[in-house]
Amino acid sequence: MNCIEFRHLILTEPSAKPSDAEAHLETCAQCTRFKQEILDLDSDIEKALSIDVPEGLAARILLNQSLKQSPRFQTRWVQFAMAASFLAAAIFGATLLTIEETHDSAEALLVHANHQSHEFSGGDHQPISNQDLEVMMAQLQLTASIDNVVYAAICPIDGESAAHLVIKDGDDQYTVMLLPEHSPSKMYTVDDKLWRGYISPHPAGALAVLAATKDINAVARIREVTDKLQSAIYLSAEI
Amino acid sequence: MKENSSDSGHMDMQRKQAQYENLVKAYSGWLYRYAYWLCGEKATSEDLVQETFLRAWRFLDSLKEEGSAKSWLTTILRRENARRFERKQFQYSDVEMDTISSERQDFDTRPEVLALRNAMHKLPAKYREPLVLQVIEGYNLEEIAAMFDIPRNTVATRLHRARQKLRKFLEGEEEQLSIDELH
Repeated sequence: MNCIEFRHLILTEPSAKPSDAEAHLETCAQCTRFKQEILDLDSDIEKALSIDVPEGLAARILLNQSLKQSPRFQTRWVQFAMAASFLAAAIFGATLLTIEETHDSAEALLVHANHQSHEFSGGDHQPISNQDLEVMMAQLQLTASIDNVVYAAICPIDGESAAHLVIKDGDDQYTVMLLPEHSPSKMYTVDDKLWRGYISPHPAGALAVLAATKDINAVARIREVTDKLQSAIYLSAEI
Repeated sequence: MKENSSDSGHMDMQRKQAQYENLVKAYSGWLYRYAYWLCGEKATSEDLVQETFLRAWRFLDSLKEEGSAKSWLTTILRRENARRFERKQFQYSDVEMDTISSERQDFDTRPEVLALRNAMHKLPAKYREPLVLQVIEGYNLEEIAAMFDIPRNTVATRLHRARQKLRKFLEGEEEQLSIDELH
């Protein structure tokens, strides 16, 4: 084996030790050094690729599988085993359900927002009256104290009636949706090809505030709008 | 006494469930790490592992040998990752707001480790994947070839080039990829 053949072997399989390669090593100091360099590189790769596995991953996978199974396949034994196995993972289960539900809802929201943006693009839209906004929001037992709403409708989103508003703020425009039947456990960020924004828990459901922007600096402004809307939209019964 | 079909069904389900739980416990960690080095995002990595195991549950009957479980699961995960690019994806994060900035703090952040990690990310996936499988998991060329459904010699060539390129990246000699490497 010559140096070229040896180095090809080492770059391909550093731990390989065929007899002709071992024989070459005994006669070539440069290839000995080369092999050690490659072994060191592999060792460094192994260290660099080390990453912690999230706690409870296996429990969440098993729980997810049990939730996705069709009930007709679940025997009583399996249900019992699931209950016993996943007792410790109960807290993860609640989180998982909420996350999945929120992801599905987020997708439905974005599909609807995309559709609306096509229909609503172009033209100089004037703010609707407070009275019209009040009538619309009342259909969901909601009240809103918001200025510069240029679009307001009750829309079917993710299988339920949701409030859909578009708010103008100077040159900026925010799409706001409130889904009464949803209750996310925490605030989620949205970073879609077109939309940035937040989906946050609200006393009346899930509040989504989105802007069609890729400007990273716009995120802080969307967050401000979200915070304002948290207190500007409320259940009618709260009045 | 003859076992009725209901009892038989219970036994099958018990066996399937036990087999599945063993697979999850044995390989979820490995798959998560592998997914991370495919996609580079923790949340997506966990999604990929979840999808992989859901699919594995559905097709568990097709796993004939326990010894091939790891490569079987790895193949499923690679396909799930490929599907990720085929379907329209909305990107949203479920990371809690106050944890975004500390997303990667559990990594080793020494400069030389970061340099190597960056170099790995610069490698085209076709070079990076076999290298990870060989270095981290000790798969041999034949096993990688079977997993990727490519000839053994192709795996050998990719491993050779992967290490060559990695060394050049680390020495600062190769910053840009040539066009043919992007395919």
